[in-house]
Amino acid sequence: MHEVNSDQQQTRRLSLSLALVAVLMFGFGFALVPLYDTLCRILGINVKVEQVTLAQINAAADAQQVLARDVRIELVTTVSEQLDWSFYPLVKTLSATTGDSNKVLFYAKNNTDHAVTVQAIPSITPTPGAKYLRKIQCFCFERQTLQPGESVKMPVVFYVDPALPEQYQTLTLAYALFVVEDPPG
Amino acid sequence: MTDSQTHKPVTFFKRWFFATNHKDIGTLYLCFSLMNLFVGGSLALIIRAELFQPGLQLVDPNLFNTLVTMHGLVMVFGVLMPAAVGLANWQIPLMIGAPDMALPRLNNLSFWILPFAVMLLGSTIFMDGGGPNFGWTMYAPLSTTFAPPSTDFMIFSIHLLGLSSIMGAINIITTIWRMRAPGMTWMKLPIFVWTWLVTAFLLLVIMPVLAGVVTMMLADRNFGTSFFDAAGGGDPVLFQHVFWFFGHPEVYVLALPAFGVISQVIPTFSRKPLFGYRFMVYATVSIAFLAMIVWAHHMFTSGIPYRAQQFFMYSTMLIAVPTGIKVFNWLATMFRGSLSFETPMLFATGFLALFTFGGFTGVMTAVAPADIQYQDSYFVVAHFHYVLVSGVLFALMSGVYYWLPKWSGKMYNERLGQWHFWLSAISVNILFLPQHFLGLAGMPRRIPDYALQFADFNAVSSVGAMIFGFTQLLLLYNVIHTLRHGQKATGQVWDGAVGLEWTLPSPPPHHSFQTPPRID
Repeated sequence: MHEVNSDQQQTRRLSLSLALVAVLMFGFGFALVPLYDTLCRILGINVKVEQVTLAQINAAADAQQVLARDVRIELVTTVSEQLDWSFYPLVKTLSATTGDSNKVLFYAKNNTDHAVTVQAIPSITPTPGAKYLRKIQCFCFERQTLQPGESVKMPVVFYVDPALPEQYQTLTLAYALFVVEDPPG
Repeated sequence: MTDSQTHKPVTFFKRWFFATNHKDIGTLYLCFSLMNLFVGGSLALIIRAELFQPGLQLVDPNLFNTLVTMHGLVMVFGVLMPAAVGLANWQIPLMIGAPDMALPRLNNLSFWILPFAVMLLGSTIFMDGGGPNFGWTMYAPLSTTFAPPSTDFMIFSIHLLGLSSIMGAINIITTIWRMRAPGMTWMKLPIFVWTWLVTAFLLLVIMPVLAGVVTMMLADRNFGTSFFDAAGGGDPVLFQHVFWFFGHPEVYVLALPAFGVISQVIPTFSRKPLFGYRFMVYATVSIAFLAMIVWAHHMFTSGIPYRAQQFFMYSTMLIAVPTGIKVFNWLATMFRGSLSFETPMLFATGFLALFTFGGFTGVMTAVAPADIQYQDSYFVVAHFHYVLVSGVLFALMSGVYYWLPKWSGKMYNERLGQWHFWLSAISVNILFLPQHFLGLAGMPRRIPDYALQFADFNAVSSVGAMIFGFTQLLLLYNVIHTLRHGQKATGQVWDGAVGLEWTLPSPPPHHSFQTPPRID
């Protein structure tokens, strides 16, 4: 009788461990997902869109032996006619070394008697050079609200990509201010 | 112990629905498979009727795609697999001298899940938006973003089918491992049992992966995940990798038991022991191993790197080596044998010729640069139908004719069996041979309409399909005729048959080998 029981126990143990194999293989199916992503990344297949940092761009530029150079940056502002705001850059031009980050300030003042929300729209000329002027931080990324008579100095942090083709010596960064919404009341 | 009816006869309902006897469950599996053969076959005949001439005649394109999907799923999961499991249920305990399967209640559950799973699958055709229409391979995003709502029911049905297979595999491994008669060492195991042991391990490893991949589909469809959606960081090509990780070994899950049947039938009718038994075992194991590492040969045009294509191309061609060993061993078994060609042997030799033919087109498709032309063409359709119909299905027919006298105790009608074989063997070639030419000429698979230059070969193929389809009614008639009017069969049945099952009377008692036989 005892022998029969241990016989049954062995059968039970075998079938349970086989069931465990099935459960593990179910998990393995899902493990294939990160495994696939990892393999693709290592082998450089099917690369998905990735974020690029300043350091990586500089490293890439160094690898290509692109020398840093100075580029003249001009800052221009326009305010729409319906808007009674003062809006101008604190410096009108500067010399930016490629690969280095620069910070410039823009002065804005609400001259009306009510709170106004605005959105600044940037544009860069010449157009083919636009993608080489990379803004890291900009007041144009979000809306600005100023109370009556309030003023503010707004920063832009940017760098010029060392890969900027040589024929571009000057880049012009222009901002136009637009009213986003009517004041309440 | 001629009649070991140790308990009273039970009602019909109790006997079949509460069945725990391996013979009863084997019968259930085989009947279920035979029924689905006619269901899946009817779907195929509608497909071939539509393709008889160019233009849209019988079905609209969406229904056509649904029929193609259903035909594939029913034939793989409803016919070939249950038939192989049915043979395993009947034969494994008889061949290893065990009283029953190791886990009889699990066995009951394994079978009785199946009818419900297949009914659920079939019901999707009648749902709003139509049934699944993306082919049995279920490629994302066709099966996720663009699929009809009924796809969720198909997914659940596949979960059930997978569960049934996994439980069946556990049962078979446990039975073979634990219940062999004393003295039956691994190298004395009948070759059919060996092939099923390896198959069961394959099932155990791949069916959960199929369950996983359809679960990912379900999550992508309903729970906002992005396994296969590039917009959310996923990748549709990942689906193909995971699916074929299951899908390719699945082909060998179907083929290995067929090899096992052939390895039993050919020695019997050659009246010689199987040539190179040991190598047959090693070949079976190495086929199973290689089957796990060749999946991406289904994906040569999906943009995988050249290095990977090279690896999968060579590993795929390597499978021809153990398969070749098997083919040559079967031929060597027949060589100088005292041959006779009863129906089982006819189907076995038909298998040998036509499966090898399908194997050759398989080597052609394994060549990555050539496969770019064959991919998704009728050439591929022709290839896998040679392997699965004139290969696996013929082997299953062979097994049924071989063991039917043992199971029923009655001899089938030999004349009818011969008609069945010759009509099948001729019509299957009329049906599938022209499809090679269509594929090479550029006819894509899974389309309801085609360019005019393909008309003639399609008409020939459709005529072959009708003959082949209706010929299978002869099998049904022969089985019923055998059970009703068959002449009494002896225990030995075939004079060349060797093995434990032939030591029992025909039919074997309901409970056999309650005292295990001794093997010397």
